[in-house]
Amino acid sequence: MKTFHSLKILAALFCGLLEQASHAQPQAKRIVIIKLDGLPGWYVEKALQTRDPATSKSRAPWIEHIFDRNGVRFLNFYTRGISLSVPAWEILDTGQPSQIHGNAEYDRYTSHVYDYLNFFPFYVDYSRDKMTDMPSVEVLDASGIPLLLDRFPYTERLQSFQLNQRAIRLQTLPRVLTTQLTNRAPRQLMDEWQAGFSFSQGMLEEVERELVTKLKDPQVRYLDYFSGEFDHQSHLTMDSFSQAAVFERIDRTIGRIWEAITRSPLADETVLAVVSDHGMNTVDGVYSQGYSLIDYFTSAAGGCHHVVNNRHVLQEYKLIGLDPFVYRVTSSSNCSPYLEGEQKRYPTVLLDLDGNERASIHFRNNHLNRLHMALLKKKDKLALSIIESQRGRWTQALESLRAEIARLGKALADTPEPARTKNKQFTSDEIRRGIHTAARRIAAQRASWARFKERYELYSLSLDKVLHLDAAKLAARKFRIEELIVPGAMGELNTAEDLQSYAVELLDSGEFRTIDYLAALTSLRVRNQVQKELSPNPIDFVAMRDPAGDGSVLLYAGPDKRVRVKETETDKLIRYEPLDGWKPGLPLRVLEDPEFHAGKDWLEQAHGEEEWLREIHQTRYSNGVIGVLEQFDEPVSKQRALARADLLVFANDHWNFNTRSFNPGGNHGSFFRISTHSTLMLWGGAKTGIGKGIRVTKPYDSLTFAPTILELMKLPHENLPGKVLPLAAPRPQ
Amino acid sequence: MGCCFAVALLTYLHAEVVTTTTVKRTPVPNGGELVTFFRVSGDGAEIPVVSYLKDTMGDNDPDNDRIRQVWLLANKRQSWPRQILAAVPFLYTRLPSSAPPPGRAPKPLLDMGKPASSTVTGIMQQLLQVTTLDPLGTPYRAATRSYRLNRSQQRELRLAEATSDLAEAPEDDAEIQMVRARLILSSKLLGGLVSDKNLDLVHEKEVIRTEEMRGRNWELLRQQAERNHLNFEPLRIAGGPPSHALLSISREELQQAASGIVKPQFYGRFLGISNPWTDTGLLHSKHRIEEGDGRIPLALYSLEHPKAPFLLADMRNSLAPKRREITRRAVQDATIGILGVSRFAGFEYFAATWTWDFINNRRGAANNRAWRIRSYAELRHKLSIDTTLDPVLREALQRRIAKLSLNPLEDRAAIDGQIARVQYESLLGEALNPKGLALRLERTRQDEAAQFAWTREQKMARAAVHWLTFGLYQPRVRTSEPMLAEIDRSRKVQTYARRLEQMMQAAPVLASDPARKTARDLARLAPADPAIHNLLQRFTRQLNDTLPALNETTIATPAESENIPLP
Repeated sequence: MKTFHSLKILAALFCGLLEQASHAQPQAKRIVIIKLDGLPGWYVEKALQTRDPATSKSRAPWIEHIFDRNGVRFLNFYTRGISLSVPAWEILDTGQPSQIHGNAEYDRYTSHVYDYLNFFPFYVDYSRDKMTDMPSVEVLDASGIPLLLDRFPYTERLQSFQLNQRAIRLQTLPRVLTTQLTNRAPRQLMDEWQAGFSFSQGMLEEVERELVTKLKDPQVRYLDYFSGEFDHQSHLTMDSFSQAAVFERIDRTIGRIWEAITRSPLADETVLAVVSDHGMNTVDGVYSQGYSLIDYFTSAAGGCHHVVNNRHVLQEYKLIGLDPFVYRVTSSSNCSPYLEGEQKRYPTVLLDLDGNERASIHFRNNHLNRLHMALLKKKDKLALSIIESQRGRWTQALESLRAEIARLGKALADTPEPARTKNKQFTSDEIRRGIHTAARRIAAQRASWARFKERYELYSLSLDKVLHLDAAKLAARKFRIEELIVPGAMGELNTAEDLQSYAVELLDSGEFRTIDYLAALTSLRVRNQVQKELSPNPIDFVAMRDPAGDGSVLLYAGPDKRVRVKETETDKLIRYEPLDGWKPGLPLRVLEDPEFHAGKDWLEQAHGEEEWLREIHQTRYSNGVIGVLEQFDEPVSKQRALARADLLVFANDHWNFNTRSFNPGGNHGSFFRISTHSTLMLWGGAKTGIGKGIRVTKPYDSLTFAPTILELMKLPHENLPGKVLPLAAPRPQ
Repeated sequence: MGCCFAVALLTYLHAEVVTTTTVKRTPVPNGGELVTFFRVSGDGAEIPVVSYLKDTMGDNDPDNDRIRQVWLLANKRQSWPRQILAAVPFLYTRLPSSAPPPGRAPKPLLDMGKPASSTVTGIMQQLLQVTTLDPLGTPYRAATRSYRLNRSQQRELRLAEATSDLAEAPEDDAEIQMVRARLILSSKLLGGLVSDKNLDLVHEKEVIRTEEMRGRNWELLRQQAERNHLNFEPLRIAGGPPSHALLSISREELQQAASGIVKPQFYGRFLGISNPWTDTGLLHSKHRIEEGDGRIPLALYSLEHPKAPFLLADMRNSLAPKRREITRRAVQDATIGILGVSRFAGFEYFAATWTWDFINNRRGAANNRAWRIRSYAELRHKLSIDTTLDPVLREALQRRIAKLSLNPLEDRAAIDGQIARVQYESLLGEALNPKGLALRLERTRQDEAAQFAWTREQKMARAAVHWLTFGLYQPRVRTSEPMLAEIDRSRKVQTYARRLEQMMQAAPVLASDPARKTARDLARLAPADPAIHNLLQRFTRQLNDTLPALNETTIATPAESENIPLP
């Protein structure tokens, strides 16, 4: 009995200890994320190192105080893949490899434009109960990829206005104006009017005000604040004064939010993270110069294509440029040999130029072009031979498309139309709990499935007709051309071979005039070279999925400067293989980079991702080798596969492809370290376990962000591929 | 000549141009100093640009210093005949001019202590025009409007020159940047109402706006040049960033086009010049380049202009820019001056002109008169002080830019430096004269003393009398020792309060900060001021928030070799 009693005491002690241990285990209860679009990691470093002689403080005093002295800073944090906002935020917001590969994408069969950056149609459609989320979030939902904020119930989160926007608080928008007017003294209003009002600044102030208010509510566990100020300014100006002015404002905003956190009820259990999606290629004294790929492709040298992109060229100089709903703009060629006047129906190049150090290009399938030309010129034999040469591939594509149509049909049948979709049909309590958004989301998804199903059916019918064409049907001419060649459709992806002998005209001799686009693009030159920092060649190299079909990527900087980057299926080792021998000037220029110290022997071997990152992150192209594989990674669905472009074009240093306006200050989108080097800093209250004064120099990429936040909040993250970052001060041995 | 031109152009384009600025301070009796900002041209000549009177209260403490009158030294008093001719409508020409006689001090442009007075004067003048002069009939309306427009354009021209020069001052010279911000605001009707604490914001926005324009126009012009197979050459006239650009054409390619070997297309939008590829006369242009790289200059543009580059000199048609300017001005003079149709007279006219301007503005037209004057003034001024540019090229550009002058009150660019020097000498004389600037200092202190010597009602009544007498009555109080001490205290309180506010916004307030000293000083100087009390309360709260976090700061030990702790 006595022993039993002792055992009971021991057990109670043990339980008590366990309980105590579990209490002592650090855990964050709230996360506040400050998302700063385009704030480079190198810029933050520079600001911290520059001292104001008058105050002896750095140019980022709040960042220095909160993160450098009292938090954790990651000195080598990189965006994974291309340094472009939508894909980069997608990785940060989901912790998953990117499924979106541009700021705009096109569906190859339907030419549907996925315009991820235009907020205006979303706001309007949201207010009309027609949309619930930004297009990028709709794509992620369709791909089954949740956002970080989805881990928190609707009532426990506050999302600011951003790219991956899940529903919005429309009432914030009118408040921007009213608060600006009511919260300021008349004198201050007059001063700001004379100096120049800024709506975006007012918007940020309102979002900050909402966030600070919500911090007082202990129920709210996820809060974020998004600012595109630095990105915007750095695109426009490269001078240090302008950028510093914006950066100082950002630093003060961080300070104010942190102060509000320290006064909030969950201060000890709150984590404050500052993260950016990418860096910025901006250098004081050097203008970033634009090269118009639209002008090139519409010209005779470029193949006289009708070109589609998602914004008006020089939109600020056109009345039509005021159209806030724009998502598709066609630029016609005045030398098209077979599609004259058909620019609206038959564009043959689709461009996503935003970014702007890279552009993705969809060419209409080379064989579809040839067939179109042969049909127009009534070269029946030629048409049949083209169909025969592609029969295997097109049949396979048709089967795959039919499977997708069936899947969409099943999804429609399995998902009933919600009974209520209008906001007014919901009670205020349901709206508070977000029930209305869930219902509207289902309705929007159903509409998308139905739309794609209908248009895919149209394409499959035409492809079926093409595959059943024979000499007799051709001779009888009982078809209209659009029944066989669907207007707007780009068809299957082109191979490298296709792009190297791309047909642009059917000559009377029956031969095709072709262009080798890989060579042509990489040899483009401009006449005005007025800045010594710039190459006369706007294009650095191009990248495409390798025809080898093993998931590898072909990088092409010239006929004798080709590299294949591939990842082995089994052990996930990455290999960088020059196809024409080792030499300087190969794409990504790893070998000759002064920051690459591992040597040629190392480069000849295959290595894991972590090893690659460690060895190359300081080079000019940072994690480019990993990035190209990320960019051409296997898509999760047929629809995602159809959004893939043929070619990714990378600009040379200080060049860009922007055409809607000018970005002379700087750009991003490439693999240049200056563009991929982003910001990550964390601070935690006393009970979060986040260390103080830690600077992590080991390189990490954006895949690590979401699992780290989830780990801090003790939420599951096993399905995420990224590692958890080291945040605690290590214990002495 | 052509050969010299070519060589000079090439040498210039690739030369590192260095011009500097300098500041001189002259003591003024009664506790002040005259600060003068000089632009140093390439040949080392110092050209005085702006002078301002600083009230130092006779001590070395910068916290009680105040800037008062500001002079634009190239802005001279106009003679009566010139002023009368400036009132003649449609007289679009410059008149002969000379430097002012020495000894007569120039008139200050503004008083930094009372910036709102220029706004009130501007509004009163406008009201007088609309309510009294316009109804008197066409001759009065046309003459007075023509005179006022010429006067304001001349003022804007001088302001543009001065702000352009001051832009070259070091960024950390807060005083100069403050003066520059005030000068920028003084070209706006309501600019005088902006408070001193927001001058930083004005300066910041101005710098950013200029940078944005420069970059955008650089790209627009470069891409248009590329598209038209022309050459683009950015220029740094008189140093500084590239504010202008020259377009040129290759002589060899022009010959090929003339003989039909190539047929380059020409997209003239934004360029404002005729197609050079069909202009065979260009091959015989006096500006042709026989040697070197064979470029023939076509046009010079200002890059510091909103929306699109502004054509300032067309090398083939020197009168084209002037014609455009005369047309714009004549339309304005005819509609407002002669017909008496104002934009605000009727909705239809307002809507029509607004729509017209909006469409043209969207298409990149140079609609903004103030910006056109600014672009013109900057080039005119920069050419007059530039010494690195080849004389032939400079002369060619100066000839063309001179043709743009439409204002009878405008002086020749060649004598601007002389005017500035003469007026500076006169001002120096005033500085040494006890009844000159010293008296001004005394009067400004009397103005200031009035602010705390009278009650609110007394102040309002006196201000009303001041405006009703068009400034003849000046509300002033005789200064005494206690009054001077009060001025000193009041100024310091203002300075400390602004400084503390800025410190609290800019950075965490730490225990060792000078902010604590500032707060203590404030508490001592203004113990009963409720606004200061609030400010100090906020300061204490912030101090309490940041201190615990600071005290918890620990030095971390590295977890892995990659983690580096703070030193």
